[in-house]
Amino acid sequence: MTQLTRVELRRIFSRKIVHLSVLAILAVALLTFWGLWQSVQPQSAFEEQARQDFEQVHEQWEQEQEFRDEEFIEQCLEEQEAERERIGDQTIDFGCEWPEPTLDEMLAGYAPPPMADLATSQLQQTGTLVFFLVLLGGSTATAAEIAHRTLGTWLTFEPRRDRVFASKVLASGLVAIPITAVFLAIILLGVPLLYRIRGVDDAMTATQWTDLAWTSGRIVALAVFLGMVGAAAGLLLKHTGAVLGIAVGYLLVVENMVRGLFPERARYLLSENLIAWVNDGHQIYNWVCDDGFDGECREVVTRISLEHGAAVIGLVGVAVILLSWVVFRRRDVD
Amino acid sequence: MELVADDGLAVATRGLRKTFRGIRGRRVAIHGLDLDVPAGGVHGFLGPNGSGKTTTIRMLLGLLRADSGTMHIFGQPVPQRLPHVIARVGAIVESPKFYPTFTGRRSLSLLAQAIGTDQRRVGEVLEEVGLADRGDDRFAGYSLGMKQRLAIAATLLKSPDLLIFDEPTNGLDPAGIREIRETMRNLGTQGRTVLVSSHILSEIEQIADTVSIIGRGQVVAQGSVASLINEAETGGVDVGVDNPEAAVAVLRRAGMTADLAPGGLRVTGVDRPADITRALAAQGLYVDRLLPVHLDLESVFLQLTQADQLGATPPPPEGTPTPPSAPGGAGPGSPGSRHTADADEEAGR
Ligand SMILES: Nc1ncnc2c1ncn2[C@@H]1O[C@H](COP(=O)(O)OP(=O)(O)OP(=O)(O)O)[C@@H](O)[C@H]1O
Ligand SMILES: [Mg+2]
Repeated sequence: MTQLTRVELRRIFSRKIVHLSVLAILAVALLTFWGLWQSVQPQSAFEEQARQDFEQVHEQWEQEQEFRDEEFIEQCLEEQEAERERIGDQTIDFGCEWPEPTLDEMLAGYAPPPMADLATSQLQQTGTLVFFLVLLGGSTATAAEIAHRTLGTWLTFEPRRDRVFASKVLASGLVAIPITAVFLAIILLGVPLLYRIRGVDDAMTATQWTDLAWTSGRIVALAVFLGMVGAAAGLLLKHTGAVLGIAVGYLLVVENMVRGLFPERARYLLSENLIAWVNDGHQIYNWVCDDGFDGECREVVTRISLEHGAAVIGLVGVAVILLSWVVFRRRDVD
Repeated sequence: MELVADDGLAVATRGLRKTFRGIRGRRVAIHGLDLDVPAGGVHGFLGPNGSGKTTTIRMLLGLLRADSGTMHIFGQPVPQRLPHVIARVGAIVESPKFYPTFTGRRSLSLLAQAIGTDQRRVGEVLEEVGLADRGDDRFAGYSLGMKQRLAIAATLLKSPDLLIFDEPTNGLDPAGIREIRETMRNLGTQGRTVLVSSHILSEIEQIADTVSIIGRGQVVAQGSVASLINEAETGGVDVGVDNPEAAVAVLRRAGMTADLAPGGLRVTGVDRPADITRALAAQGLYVDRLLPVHLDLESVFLQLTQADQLGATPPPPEGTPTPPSAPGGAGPGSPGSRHTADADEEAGR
């Protein structure tokens, strides 16, 4: 068993697709950090930039003053006043004049994002890509064997189908570990490095690191599981394209339909449960309106716990694996 | 279960059936196939396209599930005991199949690792099939002959006692064909059993010791190549005569099996041709030509398989036990359409 799994691992690592997916992760990481470069900068650098911007804007404002049309502004203000009285809302603004820009305005609202927040959100966002990659990687690993019809050759060396199935599924799961590790390392080392290079003074506390470690652990576990599900689905459907088609079709059609028609069932959607697992719980916000034209609308918050996410994802994944196994045991192989 | 432990058979099937079900309905590919492959030597598995050779082989290897019937390899029931005998069986089903982007060496190395064979064996078998210098090229870049040799190398990783080759010379040039045939011959003389399927008769005639002929999913003849040909040869006589219709009537009255044939008639089932001349002369019919029919395996094959396909009378190779109902009514599925030369064959062993 372990022997066969080792062979399967060797086979998978010999395939170009694995090398390509690691490259894809690196490329995406590069793009991500390029995007983060702007949002992570020290307060002083930001203020310097803001001051320059302010001077430019203020100059424009001064030029504008030469063409000031007092009459128009007066009329505009009157109309604004009338409207305010009519509605009873003093905040209504017709934008009649361009008030003088101030430096304080430009300086407000910026602070470099806390490192822990950034790292967490990056893990969550780019994690989705990894999940997709391992699912597809797992399914090509097995579907390619059916496409090239090497499975028949393999079975004349190892006819015990249970073992063959288990080793293939297990190997596809294990392959996800190094791939996910590369991705996690890039984020967890890259974010602090970015702060240092940009000279932003921030650090994460031990608790924040622990949280990140847990999130990372959950990402690895899910990646392994999805790799296994991918391999099983590849064997079941025989084509990577079919697996991809069903996955995308489900996400675009089924999930959107459920969200639109049965918002209260959204707690069973795979993507929501996936997020709940990675983020340690998740909330879905929905506007539910009563029937009729001026029915009341209210926001309904659905909470999905980590355990709920694990249960839903686990049940569906295990069902796919079991079904594939039962079919593979009996299937005619070319 | 008719077969137990060691009965000198490498492969035996009884009442094997396989039906393919598709959207267009059912197709019975194998109809109660009884195949006996004696251990040792080369056994030809001969049949026209679509007769069920590949299907039978895939069932033996556990790639397809049979509907019913039993199969044994070296006395072990398969597919139940396949894991125990598979180490003794090397097989190539249809064309060789390996990962196109892997080198030949890598593919073999993975297979060797899967069965726990020493990796050194990989180099040895590549050497054995003459692929040593191309072992590090990608499989996709191999010629057909090289692919075939790689597949043979893969089967040799196990040092098998039974080798199953499904049309191994398909698509090869004459030199390649000769090479593969020699390989099979050699394997067969090393005390191994080689089961080779083919629709090329001359090939089987050259390399096989024993042969099974299959038509429409049934074995229609089985025995040694020599016995199948000889039996067909001894009983058949072509007779040239002025009035063939009258002659047929005369000979039939004399208890012989006579049928009209181009240029006269053909008589089967006579030991002494002199009986024919005497019987005809007595009725005033004079024979101007009397020729023993020389059949090669090709004719036997065509007779058996065509008759089977057309549902016409198969003139059986003589000396074989012919069930009374067999000619005429024997269509696929009727047990009568199976002729066998086994008895002689087993006795001669
Ligand atoms: N997967 C399948 N689905 C449906 N029918 C099949 C399948 N495989 C084989 N058959 C049918 O079973 C019959 C036997 O096919 P098989 O491939 O065993 O013939 P064969 O003797 O190997 O022929 P060839 O000499 O052409 O290789 C054919 O009628 C074929 O159409
Ligand atoms: Mg075939």
